[in-house]
Amino acid sequence: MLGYIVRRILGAIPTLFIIVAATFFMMRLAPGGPFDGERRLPPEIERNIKAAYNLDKPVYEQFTIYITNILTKGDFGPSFKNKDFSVSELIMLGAPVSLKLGLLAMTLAVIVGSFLGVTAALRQNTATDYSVMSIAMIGITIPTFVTAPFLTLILGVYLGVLPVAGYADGAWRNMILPVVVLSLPQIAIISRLVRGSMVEVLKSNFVRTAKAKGLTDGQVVWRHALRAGLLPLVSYLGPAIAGLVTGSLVVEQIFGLPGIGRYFVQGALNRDYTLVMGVVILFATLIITLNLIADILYRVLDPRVRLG
Amino acid sequence: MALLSADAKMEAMTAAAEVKGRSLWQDARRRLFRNKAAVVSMIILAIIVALALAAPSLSKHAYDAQDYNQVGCPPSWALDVDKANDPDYMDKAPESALCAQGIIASYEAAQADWDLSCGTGAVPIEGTTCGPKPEVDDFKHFLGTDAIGRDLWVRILYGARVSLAVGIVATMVALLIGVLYGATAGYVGGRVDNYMMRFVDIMYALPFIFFVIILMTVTADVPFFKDPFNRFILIFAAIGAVEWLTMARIVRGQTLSIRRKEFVEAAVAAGVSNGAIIRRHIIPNVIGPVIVFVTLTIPAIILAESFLSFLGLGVQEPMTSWGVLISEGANEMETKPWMLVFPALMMAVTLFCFNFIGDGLRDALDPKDR
Repeated sequence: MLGYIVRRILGAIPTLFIIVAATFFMMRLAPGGPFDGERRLPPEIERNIKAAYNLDKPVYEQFTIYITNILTKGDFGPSFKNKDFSVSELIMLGAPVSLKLGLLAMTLAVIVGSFLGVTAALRQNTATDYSVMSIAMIGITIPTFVTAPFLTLILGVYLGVLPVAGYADGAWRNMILPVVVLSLPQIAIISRLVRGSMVEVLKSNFVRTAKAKGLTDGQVVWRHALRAGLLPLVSYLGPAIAGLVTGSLVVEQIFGLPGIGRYFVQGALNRDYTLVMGVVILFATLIITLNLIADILYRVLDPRVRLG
Repeated sequence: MALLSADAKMEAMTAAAEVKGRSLWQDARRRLFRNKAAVVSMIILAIIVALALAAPSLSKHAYDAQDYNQVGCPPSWALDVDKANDPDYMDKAPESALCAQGIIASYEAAQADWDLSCGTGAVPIEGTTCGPKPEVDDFKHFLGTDAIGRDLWVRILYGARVSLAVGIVATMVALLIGVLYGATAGYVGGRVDNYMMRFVDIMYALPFIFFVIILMTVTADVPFFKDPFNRFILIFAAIGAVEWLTMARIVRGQTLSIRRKEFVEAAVAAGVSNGAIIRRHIIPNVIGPVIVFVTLTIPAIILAESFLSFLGLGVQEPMTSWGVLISEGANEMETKPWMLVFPALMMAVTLFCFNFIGDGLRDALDPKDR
């Protein structure tokens, strides 16, 4: 087990390095910099600015400086566009918002998704099953940037029960719409996933044995079927995080939440290279780590999978 | 002599495989056509594609023409043009009444122009031909206009062209790279396979949209990509170049299992080259799952393009796509909900169709999965 974990962590390091290097060189080698404005700066000022951001050095040297600063000081450099802010400061500002949004959405998705999936599987090929699966299809096909404005239009504008946008220091009423919108696609995917695996599990021998020894339906489901049926959910954790991260780019933008996703989009639009780099590194680390945890958890939970 | 007979044998075998293959396809087609959701989806999708292709001839309005008398107007069927100057209408629904007046104003202006250059007593300008006299209906906007007075229906159709084109071309890019890469990795196997798939794993570790966003960002200043058409091609390439990963995995898995089949062994024994085996034996046999994946990739790519456009990194004005329209609609939804509802509806229907067809194909091609 320990060997497996060590091997996986060692494997993750080069992956992360390649991602960081690829992003860095892509951004630096592109013509035009963040300081090319409408008006050309006087040459000496431009030289000073470039020196201040190390842009006058050769690219590989910039890369070494960048990596060293991250590893030794946890410093992702100054933001090119948000004056007086370092990238780390911006990320620290945005992280609590994104984290809250992501965790709430994830929890909601897992609870509602597995409930729907299990219900559909227990009533396989009934009206309940079909309606759950049709709703799941809607959730998968309709993107976040359509559901968000629609729900806002109905609940926020016409009915006026929820605020249209804004963070308001994390007031719960402001979080409902973003969380629901962000979790909808995940609810859909999770319910399909859980339904599929529950249908398999309910047909398996150990469930038949449990029934044969006279357990009630509830006991069979709670004690035996659910444990095996919810396993695929664990391995879906990694992709789910990736989905939530992508979704948060749009959700934070639409609802005006000051999270990391919004910084990333703004950074990309303004070509704030250091900010974009910082967010990419953060998200890549997050996704790789969570994938790793999910894989390990899966092996811990499922006795059938031997550690390879 | 021995070689010749081996060749003949191979030919006979491929012929046999083809006969069997055809009956498999017939089977699949029958199963597919029995799936009502898939059939209905195919019909709806065909209509949407036909509308998109015929877009220029479907409306009198150009996709980038502004009607200054009708800025941000609701669909024409929601307006009462006959009552345009009725004070009651003005009281009850001032915006609708103004839009109805806008239609009349545009019509009267065009009619005056027509009278001036083509009407009785006018001297026709040399080299120009006069069209038919304008009518009120020519100035109605079936699905309303956007915030700067462009016809929404025409823009949705032009958006469909862009979105569908991106979806299909990017999928083809993904298909080409993915199939070649996956088939090579799976067929060659061993260390090469290991390295090739490790690379895919690394690429997988990032949500692909990040790479596309970075690519769109860094190329924003390259003069070559400032040209709208080149930028458009870049979107194809960028999305397609990341979507091939799953394709490569599927093809590799299939290839690995097919490689051990007797007919491949026979081909190897007969001295057929690796390239020829991949082209003639492996690829035709992995095509089933690939087709299913293709139908599911097209909507995924349409979504990805819309996502980029929504964030402002996709196609540029005056070109449009569903993502751009939805983004514009979302900004104006409080006062002009039609700008959001119609493009969103159009895209949702299209995505549904592709997904139903994909599911139907999967069931049809893989009956043991049902």
